[in-house]
Amino acid sequence: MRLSVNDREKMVGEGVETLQALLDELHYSVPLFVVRVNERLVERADYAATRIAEGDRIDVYNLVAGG
Amino acid sequence: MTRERYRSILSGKKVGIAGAGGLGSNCAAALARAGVGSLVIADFDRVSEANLDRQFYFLDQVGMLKVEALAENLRRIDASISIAAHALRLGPESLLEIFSGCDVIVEAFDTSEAKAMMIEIILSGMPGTPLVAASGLAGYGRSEGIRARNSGRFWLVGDLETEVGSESPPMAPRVGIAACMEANIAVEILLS
Repeated sequence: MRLSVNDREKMVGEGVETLQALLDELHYSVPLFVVRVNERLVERADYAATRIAEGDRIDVYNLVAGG
Repeated sequence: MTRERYRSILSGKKVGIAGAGGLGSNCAAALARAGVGSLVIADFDRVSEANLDRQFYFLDQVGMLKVEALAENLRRIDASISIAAHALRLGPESLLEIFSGCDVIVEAFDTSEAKAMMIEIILSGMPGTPLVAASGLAGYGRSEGIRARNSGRFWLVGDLETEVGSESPPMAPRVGIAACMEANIAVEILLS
C-alpha cells in the first residue's frame, strides 16, 4: 500500500491496516508526537481503530523539548 | 477592524497558559499588550538568573515564583488585567480544572512528555476549546522554519525538530518568535 508519510512516499505491507500498526511499523514507540491522517488530528485512544488506506496522507509531528 | 473594536472584544476573553518559561511568559506579555482581559497562568518554578536570557523577568525578581513575577509584570503593562496565577505543577486533573472556562489554551511547557500529556488531556477532556501548542524552537536563525500547522481546534507552532539541549540552547529571539506566534494564533481565534 502506498501512503504519504510526512510528505514522503512510503510503501507498507498489506498487513498494516490501522494507524497503530503503521506507527509500530515506523518505530514510533514512545508517544511523544501528534498524528494527522488526511489533515485530521487523531486522538491517541483512536489509533488502533483508525483504518488507513491507499493514498492516505499521514503527518507525524514530533513533540521536542523546549519552552 | 479598528483598534477600539478589537480591544473591546479581547477585553472580554480569557486565555489559559500552561507554563511560564520562555514560551509562556513572552506569550502572556504579547496577549496582555494586545488587550486580552483575563489570563490563567500556571507554573511551579521560580525565576532564576539563567532564565533572564529569554524569559519575561527581571534581575530583581530572581527567586520569586514565576507566576507571581509574571502577574506583577503584566499588571505593569495593564493594571486592569485579570490574572489567575497558579503556583503548581500541572497534571491531568488540575489542567482540566484550572483552564475550564478559557476561550483558548496555550501549551507552553518545557518537556516533550508534558506537551504530549497536555495535548491528549485537553483534546479529549475539553472538547470545543482551541489549543495552541509548540514544538521545536531552540537555537537561532532559520526563522522561516518556525511555522504553524492547524487541524480543527488544534494548532502546533515550531520547526518540530530543534530540541533544546546543551548544543542547542533556547535563545530569546527564536523562543520569542514561537511565543509570539502562539499569541498571534490565540488572538486570531479570539477575534474570529
